[in-house]
Amino acid sequence: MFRIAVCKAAALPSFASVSSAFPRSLARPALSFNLFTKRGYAEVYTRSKPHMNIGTIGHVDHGKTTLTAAITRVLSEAGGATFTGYDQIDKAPEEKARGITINSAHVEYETATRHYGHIDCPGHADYIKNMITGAAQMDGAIIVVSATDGQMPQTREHLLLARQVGIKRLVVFINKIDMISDPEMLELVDMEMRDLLSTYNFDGEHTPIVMGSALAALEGRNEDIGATKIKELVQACDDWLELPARDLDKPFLMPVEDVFSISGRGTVATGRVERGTAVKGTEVEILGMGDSIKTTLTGIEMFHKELDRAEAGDNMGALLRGVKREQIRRGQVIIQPGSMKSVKKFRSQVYILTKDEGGRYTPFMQGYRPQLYLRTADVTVTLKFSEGTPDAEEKMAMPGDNVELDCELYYDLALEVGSRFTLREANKTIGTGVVTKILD
Amino acid sequence: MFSRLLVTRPASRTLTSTRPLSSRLYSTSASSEKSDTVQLVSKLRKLTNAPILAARRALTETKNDFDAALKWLEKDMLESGMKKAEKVKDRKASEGLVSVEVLGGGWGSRILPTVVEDGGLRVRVATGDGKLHGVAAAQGVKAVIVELNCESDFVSRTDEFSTLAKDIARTVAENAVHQDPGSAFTTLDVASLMETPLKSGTVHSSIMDLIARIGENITLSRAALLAPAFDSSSAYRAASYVHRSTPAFPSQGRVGALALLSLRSSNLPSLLNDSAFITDLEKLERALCRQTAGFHTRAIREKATEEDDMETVLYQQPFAMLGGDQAGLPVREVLNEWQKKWELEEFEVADFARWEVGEQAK
Repeated sequence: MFRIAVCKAAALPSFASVSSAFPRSLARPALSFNLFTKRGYAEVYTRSKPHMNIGTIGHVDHGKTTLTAAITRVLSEAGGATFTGYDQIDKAPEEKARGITINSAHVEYETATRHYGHIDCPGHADYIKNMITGAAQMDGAIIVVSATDGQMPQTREHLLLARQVGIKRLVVFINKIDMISDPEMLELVDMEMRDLLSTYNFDGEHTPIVMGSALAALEGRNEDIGATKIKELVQACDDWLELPARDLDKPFLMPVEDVFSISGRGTVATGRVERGTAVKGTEVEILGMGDSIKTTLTGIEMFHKELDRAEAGDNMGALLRGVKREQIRRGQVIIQPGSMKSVKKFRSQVYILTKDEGGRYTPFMQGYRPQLYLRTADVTVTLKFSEGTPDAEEKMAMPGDNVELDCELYYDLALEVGSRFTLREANKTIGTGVVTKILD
Repeated sequence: MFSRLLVTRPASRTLTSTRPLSSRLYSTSASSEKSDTVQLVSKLRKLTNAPILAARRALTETKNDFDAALKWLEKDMLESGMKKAEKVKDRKASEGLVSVEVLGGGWGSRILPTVVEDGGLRVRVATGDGKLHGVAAAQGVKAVIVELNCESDFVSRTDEFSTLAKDIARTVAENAVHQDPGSAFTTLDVASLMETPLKSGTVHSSIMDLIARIGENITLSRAALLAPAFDSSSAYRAASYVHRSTPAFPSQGRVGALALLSLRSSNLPSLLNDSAFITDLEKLERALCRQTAGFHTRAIREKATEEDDMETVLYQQPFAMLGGDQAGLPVREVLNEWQKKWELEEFEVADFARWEVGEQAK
């Protein structure tokens, strides 16, 4: 009757779950693991280090691939990484993520305090596409500049990309310093970079700039400008780059997948908790598609068992006080009250899939109305080029384009900056996008 | 400014540990002298975008004479660009821009070429009054489409690269001579275009110069000239559209379409002065060029090859770019209607080029 499959999402063991492990013993196979971590996670449970995605951005010849390889080499000595050679990184394989071809190399490594996923940033368009689709992401970045050239015209574009994708803090690595015999020239590179960072609204004054030679580190020579500097760089990342908020720490959100009426108990909405935690008795808000209702979560069920607490990754059934079955439906969300708004108009960055990726063959003009899929919702949307686009009536979007679009939904939906959605037409995914601004 | 940096910035800390040389940094007499050099290098770089090492050397060679260093650098950029170009020439350059320049828009166009004494075409653009000039009755279609490539799209987004793409299209259009009387489009030999004058040098020297500053392989991969032979029975016009251009560079982008339109009517002289007609015509032309670029157009009336999709044929495509009640009708049908509306004997897309960045590299 209450057929809700529960599967704990993988890779979620975390500090926060430790405290909750106890009352959930039956539902969670990961229990022993969690109790174990409580004794001494720092030494034995390294996966619990907070995770962060970073990337290297830089000119083709300035050594960002060498730097990436050097980081893995230096950290592998402390057991924090598997050495990944230049060739493995440089030959970024084309992969398919959700049917969309992306092009980037992933490596990962650990410092004493963090776990990093690292990408060698491909081109501007490729990265934007990765970001929109969620295939790859940078929460922070290392800008690589060669001391022999200094910042170049394209360095401005590197910083613009970082700005555009919402990166707030950067670390700079000035590479190839062994090829400069005049230290004052290094000072100049430093000064110019700080000026440029400030021009593009980064903190030019405090951004860490580390000078060294990635090649020396990779080849294991000249430790003073090699390995030492790589360690310094990684330390700067640990200290300066800010961790993104973890799903568990965010306000509770569960998209409604299905609704049941259970005699003697009331209305139950099911879904997978996207983020946050909720305990029995919490006030919640049901949001989207017209009605917003405030109510209380009177029960949480998983695997036919009643629980006190649900968290990100859980598939749960939410028993809602005083809510009739017809008052709630698929496409709405159950949230911590006031943590989100339901909106009809928003701005977005959208990637239009190519025919090879299963998308359209032909371009579209403004006023196009596909279906928008967001979490469990499915609503007709009218697309326009973002306000202020010159000659918007005569503009078109072609398959393969990254475009900024203003979206107007037929029904309001709960969404916020960073929410991802797809656009579909006649059973074809024609685009995928991310919300960049709420319009009203 | 820089001395303040020396005092306050902990950045110098990273230097002291690197090599014994850096101790010289703190010898006061040397420091002030060197700081002058640093300021000059900085100034040089702001003006030229030259690499740090090149700017430094320019000053050493000229004993810190700024003007002489600037000259030295100009010359060096060409040489070091050529050296760099040789080094990177095998690297794949499949990013970049398609750049279109319409020097003469043809019959009724606001872009007017006039014949000068040497017989070559010089451009004159009508001033903002929007009035159409009688001179335009001369054929005067002259336009060029080029593709300039680089390695990353970070570079193709810079103003420096866009400017070069724009300048090259412009000078090629100004200097190209019609070579093939049998066809409206002439493929231009890229190697011989290299000697076309540009700024104080040539196309070649300008490319070398940018390679020296940007450090990527930059190549002019193709160029074509649109210049139809004179035909007394038709009026010709050129129209273009460039996709993913930016407001600062409206004719430089990822996909470029350049089309030759032909009109026939006994009514042409009076239509020429009918601004409603010209406005309607321009709107249709823009839509046709967007259509050509937006679809993977390869032919006008019949498939270019047997395997091609029907949607590669312009006249068969559903017209997606005009909107209104004609949206979705085959392009040729819409053109027939339009022809009838303005009582023309003929309105055709006589020829076109549709270029996409990197398509040749595939």
